[in-house]
Amino acid sequence: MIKLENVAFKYREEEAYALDHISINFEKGKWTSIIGHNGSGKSSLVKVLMGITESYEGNIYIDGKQLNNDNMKDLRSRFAIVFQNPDNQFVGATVEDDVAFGLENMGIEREEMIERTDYALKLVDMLDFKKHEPHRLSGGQKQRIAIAGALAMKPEVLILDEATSMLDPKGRQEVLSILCDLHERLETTIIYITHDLTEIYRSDKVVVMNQGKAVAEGSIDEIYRDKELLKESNLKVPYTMELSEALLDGTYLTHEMLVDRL
Amino acid sequence: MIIDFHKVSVVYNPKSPFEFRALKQIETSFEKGKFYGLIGHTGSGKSTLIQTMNGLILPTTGDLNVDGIKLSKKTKQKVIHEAKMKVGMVFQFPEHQLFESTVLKDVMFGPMNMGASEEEAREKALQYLELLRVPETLYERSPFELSGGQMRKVAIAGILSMEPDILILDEPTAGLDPVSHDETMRLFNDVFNKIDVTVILITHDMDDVLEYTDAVKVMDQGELVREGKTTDILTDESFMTAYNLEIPHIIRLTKDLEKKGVYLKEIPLNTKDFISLYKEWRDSHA
Repeated sequence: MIKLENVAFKYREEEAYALDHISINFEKGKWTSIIGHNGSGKSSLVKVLMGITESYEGNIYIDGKQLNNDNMKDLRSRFAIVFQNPDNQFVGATVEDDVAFGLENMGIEREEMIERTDYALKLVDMLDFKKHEPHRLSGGQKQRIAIAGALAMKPEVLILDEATSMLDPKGRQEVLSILCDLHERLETTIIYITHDLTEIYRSDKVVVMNQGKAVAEGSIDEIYRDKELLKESNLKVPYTMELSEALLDGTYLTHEMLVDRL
Repeated sequence: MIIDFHKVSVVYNPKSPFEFRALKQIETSFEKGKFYGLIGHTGSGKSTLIQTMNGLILPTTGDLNVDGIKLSKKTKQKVIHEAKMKVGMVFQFPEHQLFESTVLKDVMFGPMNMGASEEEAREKALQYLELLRVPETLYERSPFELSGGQMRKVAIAGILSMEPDILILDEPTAGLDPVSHDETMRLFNDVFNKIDVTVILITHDMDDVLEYTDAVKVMDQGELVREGKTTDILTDESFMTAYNLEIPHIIRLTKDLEKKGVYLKEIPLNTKDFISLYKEWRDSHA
């Protein structure tokens, strides 16, 4: 779906690379998680993917087509993104206005706009709130509205840039379960960026970033087991893994499995 | 008691259609030298409560006493200023508050602003930079050239150099990666153990509340719904669930194991505790 080939980027000429020659293949319909500590290069990766900066080196292919100045706008319209802080992304006076905003920008007909807005709100289970003011909702609800705004564009790829890190545990759980559901039902390609290793259990593939480089790529189990790698990358395994290592055989376990085995 | 609340209520936009009662008849106190957790979900009144402690918000009715200073609706600006001196606040990303040209000057700014001489301010700054183990080689460097972790230490040294009696930590780890999160919490715990200060931590992270705090106060819809010993409250499953609070991972695990007949000798406060308590249980049942 999206292929990065030797992509590099720096903010200023005299500085080190913020993205240091990265190659990643994001497969269609799969959930790829990008993990790394604050400052590891995750956000720079998003900037390049979303075209917030154009001054990168290397190649980006979308469905086999190389991204260039002519096709860029068209190809990127197939992505949608949800950022960290829901409070910074609201523009509409009501929830439905907000979700419709992107569609209005695209010049979509009113009929279809209403239809798509309702469709997206239903997907995130927020249809009952469509006449509400966004800023009065809880953090988790706000972030679900932001996801609805992205989904209304019917994107092929949904990018989540630390979308849960400012939420309380309940909001976090709300957002994650909506995403799992969407991924299963609509087969949306998901790029999930986070530093929280407890949130990546649904991933088909995990990429670890450190100092601007993609230092490892593998399944959840492979990544969880590589203690040296995680330590070097300033990441922390979930408590279940820590306990499995100290008390059992060190395989990845969920909470329920752990209770069962202890 | 270092802080006493007497029937404190705060009403925003009173007598208007937007009237909102942020605090309702708060009656509580904080003991000197303890580490408190202030919990409750978003919008429960936690932030308003701490803002009354340094006079940023005055009670609409009722009053509070902060280390001998009485704060009420009628309190004069000069007195509010005195309360501010007693309360140090650390928000998310304290390093964003750095501004001076060198590390040492940045830490000296607070005491000098409070009226200390340059000599006294320097002494305080050196004392707290040392306490936080900021290497001496960095003192004359620009704070903006330091790593994120060092910048955070300098910013915290700046707050401590004003020697507040009360240190309020308002979600100090939100948005940090797990390793920086642990480092920051350990740093605060270290400060708490080394100097005579009362700490109030606001967080959603119940694992931190369990590990670091002595006592907890729980807010909901502007009311103080419960207060007591941390382990008593965090292990009360029905209470925590009723107020939508997350039970710490290690407590949930301990409770689930009890249902299987595994009873640990004590309540574990963190993963390390759990490992040794569980091993002890396993050995005695081998």
